[in-house]
Amino acid sequence: MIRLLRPFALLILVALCALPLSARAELHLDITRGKIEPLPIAIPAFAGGAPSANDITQVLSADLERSGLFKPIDPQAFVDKDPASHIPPNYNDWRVINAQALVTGSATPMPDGRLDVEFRLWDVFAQQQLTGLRYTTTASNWRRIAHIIADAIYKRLTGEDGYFDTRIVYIAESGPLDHRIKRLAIMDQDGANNRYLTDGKALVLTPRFSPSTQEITYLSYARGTPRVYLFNIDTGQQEVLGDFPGMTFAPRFSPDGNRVIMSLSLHGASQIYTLDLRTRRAVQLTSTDAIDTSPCFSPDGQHIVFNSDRGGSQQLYVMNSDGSNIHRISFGSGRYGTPVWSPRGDLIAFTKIDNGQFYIGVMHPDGSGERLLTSGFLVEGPSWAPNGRVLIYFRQTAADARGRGSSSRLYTIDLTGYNEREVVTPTDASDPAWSPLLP
Amino acid sequence: MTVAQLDTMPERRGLIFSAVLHLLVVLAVVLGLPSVFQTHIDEEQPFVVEVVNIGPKTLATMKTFTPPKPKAPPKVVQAEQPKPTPPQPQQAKSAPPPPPMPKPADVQVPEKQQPPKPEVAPQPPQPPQPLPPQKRQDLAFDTLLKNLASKPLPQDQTAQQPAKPQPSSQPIAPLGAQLSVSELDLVKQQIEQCWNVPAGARGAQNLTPEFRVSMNPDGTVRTATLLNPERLNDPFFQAAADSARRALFNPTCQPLKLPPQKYDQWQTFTITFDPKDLS
Repeated sequence: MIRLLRPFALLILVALCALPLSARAELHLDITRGKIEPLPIAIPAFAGGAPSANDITQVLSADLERSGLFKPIDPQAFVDKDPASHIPPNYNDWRVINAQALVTGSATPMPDGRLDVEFRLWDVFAQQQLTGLRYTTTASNWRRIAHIIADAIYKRLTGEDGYFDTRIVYIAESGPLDHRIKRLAIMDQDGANNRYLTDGKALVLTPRFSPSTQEITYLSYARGTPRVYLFNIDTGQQEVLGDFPGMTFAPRFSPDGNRVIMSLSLHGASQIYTLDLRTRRAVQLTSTDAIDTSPCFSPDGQHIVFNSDRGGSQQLYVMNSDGSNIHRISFGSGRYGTPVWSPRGDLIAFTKIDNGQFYIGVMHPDGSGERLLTSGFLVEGPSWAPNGRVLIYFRQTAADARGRGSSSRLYTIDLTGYNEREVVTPTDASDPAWSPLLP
Repeated sequence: MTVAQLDTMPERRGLIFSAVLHLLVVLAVVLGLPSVFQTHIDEEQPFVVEVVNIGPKTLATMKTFTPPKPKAPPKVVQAEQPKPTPPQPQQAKSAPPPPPMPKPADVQVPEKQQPPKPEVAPQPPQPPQPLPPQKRQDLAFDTLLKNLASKPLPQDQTAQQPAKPQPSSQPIAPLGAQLSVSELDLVKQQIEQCWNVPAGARGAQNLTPEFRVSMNPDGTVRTATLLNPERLNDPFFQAAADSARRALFNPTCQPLKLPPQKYDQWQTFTITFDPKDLS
């Protein structure tokens, strides 16, 4: 028996010897660097024949370009000027112009007057479709559809939620500086569809969106003393919030939209209150001789950041949502104000005044990692885009000796500190607030 | 008697001389060669040396005339190791390959042991290693961010440039069957220049898609299969995996600069994309 197996044993031995050779380690590469450049993307005009087809393409292209993360390729360079939207493209035509992504689509008018819009996003190098969606809407809604498509493309290529289908509420300013007219105004995030919500008879300040995007809370001098108001965008109705003895200001919604947090000024000190919009019950959260103001909830509703001069100079503090565990988080030089918690929860944006210069900056909720993004004669009032990646704020330039030449404009900046862009408004503007994504 | 005295005196003197000389010899041995009598054994200091093949076209040799600065060797790497003497680039210049040959007596060359590469040649400077992975990732991303408070901004610009070929002091060695470090460096740099890092990835952790790539003999990528597809439901990971795939198929990176005669070495390989060193 053993003798019979002997030749096989030799064979097994040989096989065992050969094993390590065949199981040699496979070559492995570790790529730890790359380029940080806007992604070249081709967006040929949508087919389908709807009058708005070209406009949709342009709005979509402008959205992506403004984000700073994409570089739409000039249509003049396209080899295939009119690609079909429903079949895979000839990838070589797009590879030669170095397009890494391609968007094809169509906007077709339907017999009932509505608009049928579809798009597909192609990966040119990997030669595959990344996403494709279709929408049916009223024809006048083409601009929103373009923003929604831009959001879908942004999300698929970056992993992050988009912020293009959003609106911005702000204070439109006009008239001479000593007789300024301030109106509540609202527009799309790209500056389109601008309209005024108040007539300018009363001074208005610090508008903020509710999470439902249908309501705005703001400060108005409509009855002589500054009070916090609630404005319904759909109905145009305004109402005073709460029946407080002193003046109320710096309002902001809680993340669930059921409460408004604000400051109440009485006898020279300011305390922070929340007001439940359902029960109209007010709760006092802080109690000092100092000025506590600009409160803002964390996105989970567990904490509140605010600024206070209780320590001598104006600094940022964080407390629990019931007012306990107050601790200071800003320790840099200068004064800090208007803190706003990022919708992502990881950062707090603020205005900083140091050596006569204004800054917009961000820090972690524990006060670490302070980073200043931009500066100027007056930059103030940051507000987050709903994806927590972009900030909007206003920038005011200095007036000359005769009080002229000053301007106040809205700007956005990427969280990285790059890609600062003006959001064009018809008049001077201040106090911008970004809405959540529209429902 | 005198004679006897005369005779015995030199004898005794010789004896004393002899004794003194013996004593001196013994003392010399005891003091001069302490290790002979000491039972103390030097603590074993493992010193790892990676045996590498040097290709005929080492990237480094292109720039040997500019000697690497003494600061070039990654200091931090040494912190993790027991007690390696830092490799002196100047020494390495004249030394045969594996360059770091500090104290021959202390060096133990473990065969087949593949240590974490570092000492071989001046590699592109590594970021501090002993940080926990999470922290490291944060640091890496932080370098991408603008901060008005910490100036020189122009550095950010240069940081985004693709890595330049690093000077090296490697002498040219015979061709090995394995892909050499320089050959691997070349193809890595090529792919790095084609990788548009996922722009939205800031704050998202551990986005390291890994692919198995099968190659055509002409150096073009035939297929690339994602090895960790279970994470594709994470949109950040999906975006990262897509960007990595685009890098592999980017026409400006085709064909990959791999030596055709070693096709059997690279006809399939695995590749990981990790933006940890973005700086």
